[in-house]
Amino acid sequence: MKTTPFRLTAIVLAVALVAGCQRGSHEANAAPVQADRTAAPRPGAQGGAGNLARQNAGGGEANALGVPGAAAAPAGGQANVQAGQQLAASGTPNGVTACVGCHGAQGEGNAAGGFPRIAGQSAAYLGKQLGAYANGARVNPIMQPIAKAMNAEQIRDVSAYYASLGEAPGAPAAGGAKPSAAGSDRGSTLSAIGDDAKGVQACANCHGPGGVGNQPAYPYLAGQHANYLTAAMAAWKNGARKTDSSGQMTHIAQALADADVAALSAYFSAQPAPPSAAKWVNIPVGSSQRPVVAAAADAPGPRGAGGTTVRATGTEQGAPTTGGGQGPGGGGGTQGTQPQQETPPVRR
Amino acid sequence: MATRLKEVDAVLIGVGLVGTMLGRELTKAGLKVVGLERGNAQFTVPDFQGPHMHDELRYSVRKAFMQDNAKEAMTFRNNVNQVALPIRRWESFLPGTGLGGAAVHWNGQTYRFQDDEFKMRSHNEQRYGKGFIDAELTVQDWGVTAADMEPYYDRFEYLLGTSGQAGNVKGQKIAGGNPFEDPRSRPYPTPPMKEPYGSAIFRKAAASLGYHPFPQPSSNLSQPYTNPEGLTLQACMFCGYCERYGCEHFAKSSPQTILLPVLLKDKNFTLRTQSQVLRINVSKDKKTATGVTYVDAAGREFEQPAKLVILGSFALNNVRMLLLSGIGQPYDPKTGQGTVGRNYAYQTMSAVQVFFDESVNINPFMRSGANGTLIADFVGDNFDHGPHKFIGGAYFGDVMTNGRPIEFHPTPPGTPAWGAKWKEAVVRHYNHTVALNVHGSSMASRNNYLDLDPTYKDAWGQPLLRITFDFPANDLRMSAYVTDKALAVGKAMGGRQVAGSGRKGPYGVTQYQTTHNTGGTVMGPDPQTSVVNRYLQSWDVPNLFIIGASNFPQNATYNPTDTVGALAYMSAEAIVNRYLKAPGKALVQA
Repeated sequence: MKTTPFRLTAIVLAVALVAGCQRGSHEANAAPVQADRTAAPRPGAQGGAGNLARQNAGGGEANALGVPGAAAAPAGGQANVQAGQQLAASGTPNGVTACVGCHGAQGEGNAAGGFPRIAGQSAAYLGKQLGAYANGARVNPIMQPIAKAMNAEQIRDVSAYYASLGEAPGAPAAGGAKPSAAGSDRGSTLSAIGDDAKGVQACANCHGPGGVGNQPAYPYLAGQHANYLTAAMAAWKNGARKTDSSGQMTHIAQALADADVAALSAYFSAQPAPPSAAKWVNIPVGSSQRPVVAAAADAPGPRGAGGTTVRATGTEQGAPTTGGGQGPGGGGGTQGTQPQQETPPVRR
Repeated sequence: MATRLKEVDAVLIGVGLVGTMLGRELTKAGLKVVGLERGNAQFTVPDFQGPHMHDELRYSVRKAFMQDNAKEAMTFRNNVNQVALPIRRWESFLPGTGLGGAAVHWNGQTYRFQDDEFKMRSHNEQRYGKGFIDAELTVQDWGVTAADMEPYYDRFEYLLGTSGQAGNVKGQKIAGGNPFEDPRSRPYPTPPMKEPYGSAIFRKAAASLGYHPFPQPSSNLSQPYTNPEGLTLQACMFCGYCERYGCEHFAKSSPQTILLPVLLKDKNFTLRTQSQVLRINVSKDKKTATGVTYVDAAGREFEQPAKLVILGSFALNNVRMLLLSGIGQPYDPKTGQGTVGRNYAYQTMSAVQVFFDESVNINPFMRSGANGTLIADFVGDNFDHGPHKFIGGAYFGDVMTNGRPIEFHPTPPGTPAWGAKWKEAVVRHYNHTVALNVHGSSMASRNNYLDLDPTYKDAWGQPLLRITFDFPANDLRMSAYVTDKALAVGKAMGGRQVAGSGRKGPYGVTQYQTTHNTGGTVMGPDPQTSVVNRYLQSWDVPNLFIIGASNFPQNATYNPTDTVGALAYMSAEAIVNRYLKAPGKALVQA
């Protein structure tokens, strides 16, 4: 039975595109066209010291710096979750300390210490951060030596392990200050619609409604510890974190006041953490299976999971929303969804 | 009875891109300006924010940002022997409405027209002979050259912050840019966007065939940029919701991000939204505009007197406003006399789909409205038309804008249009297909024009605009020729299957093609064949300026917005520096 390619490929390829879509970066792969189409660019395919130095000299294409393996060969093959668990629990002889010491037995983090919850973040995101610590795109005195001591396989395995945690929707992070009434709170307003005067858009645009994340590229913020979120925003603001080549996070952190950051941190830390990215399912084509992850009982929107299945008719006021009516697009619209119909439209 | 308001120095009909630009230039010159916008006020925050901005049903299917065709439709027919019927649902093209207009939901594709396309008749007659152009074509020169336009293109692109790779700065050719472009005075304000994977495959294939690929100039920015108005834009996040949507990230150049925050603070400027202009009022001798009459959301009618009227609505609506106001002589296709509504043109679009193996992952969802790579080798007169017997051309390339779930379902020819087999094919091909866009010029024909519909009326009881249009044979020959070239590049890209064909007639309004509707209030040196002079001043009513793609004598190969913006700056400069010194006088003697 076939599975949809969306989830399967998205995880690998979101990373691949982030790494590979740098203009000019395909030049490194100057094979003939024939070779080019047989494989998508692999994560870290543009790695190597020369490339890294060039990017640094060019003002730092920080996104590439943050890609796991940008400074080392990427790990191939299947992740070994057991090995990841072993490393998380015990560390390694060459100086990688056990993750559980700070991030907790189940990756729940530590509110007081500002150690982030990492359970259920995507493997791609976790791997990217470890790569960034290792190559300096993200500065942190605790994590940098640990990440530098890890090899590519260890980064792959431990990322996969933590992505697999977070069975059920988590409780709001302990220690998160409760925001005042929902909706009137500054944090929830910034999260949902942003601030026009400051030129700051909604967090929800990328991080999802209520900060549930948009896996694999955008981490969840919901249920994250407030101290960590505040520290992360400070890192964006002062340049200690350069893992967003668009500059959006830097701009946002600089535009927001300390009180705004505090309000956002309080808001997100009070939200329930989303289910693990690894628990997202691939639904076989043609089956009536629906995602096992049910929306929270009080979540807004239609009820598609569990009970009654919401079915759309696929038409809008009788017009097809797909197929020939969508036509080969021009500069302004839906593009190339269908070749032009051979049969001309009926004339009256 | 209309309430008569206090006279102002200038009134803007429409507060989209043109209205915003003219509002800014005129208030800066000290004029009291009122902007009348028929739609709602809307801003990046809170109106364009996610996740509701990613509502495909609302914005792409139900077209929330477009003119309400339950109130104001247009009628359409292919030729004068047919009876035109109202377009009840926008499909072929999408006229925007609301503050910021179509520049809210545009893609940001920002091209300059080539010099030979400004001289469409004289250049082609000189190179290919007098009889070369089809007799039905009423193409003509613009009366300006690329060199005349350069300073205004430059100023407009720096307002937008356009991201691109220059190919020719002051005559110096630069590798990686468009080698066919006319000299520009300086590079683009920001470097080109990242190149998607499919575009990289296209680039290599095109280069292997000897063509000259270059990155698409984009007004979805590659990096943060502060424009001369002091407004800062951010970098595009490749969210894939660009055309038909407002930008949630302050990354697309729209009036909301490039001008409005400054304009709205100006005490000389007054914005009135939900104000539907019914007509431009003119003096008894029809030589002076005295202001406009509009209806507000409560149905109250107002007369807004003004010394100067700027008509800057969507191209098609510019034409209709003149016809409703009785300004100028309507075009008559039987005699060829009259200018208003004459030389309506469009864009000749086709597409080539390249279907890859499942090992090639295109990720169409990570796209921007104006990313991608294309070639200009078949644009305008960049190739010898002698053997082909057509004028004009097309660019093509991988400039895909999205992989949105409702809209993007590439399937190879032969796939059923619905059912299990169709679903299977969508799953198989969704992430492994590149669409090449073939974006072609559209020549003006004596048969294609705009006038008022004799039957159908809008919600205010005024006649709808009637579109009479079919593709001229010239353009179908052009499309067939260039689409064949695109098919060859598609094959060189290594697709397992390559499908596509040139545009075929007749033109229909039920399939999206492009929103590049042009002409009808054409600019030019001769009042017999144009509605406005080169400064976009009405020949008939000198205190009326008509600005937009309706000024194009025929449509060029590239997307129109850069030229619309450049024309707006050119016109604004003439108004401020020359017209205001002698108001009511023609800037060009007929």
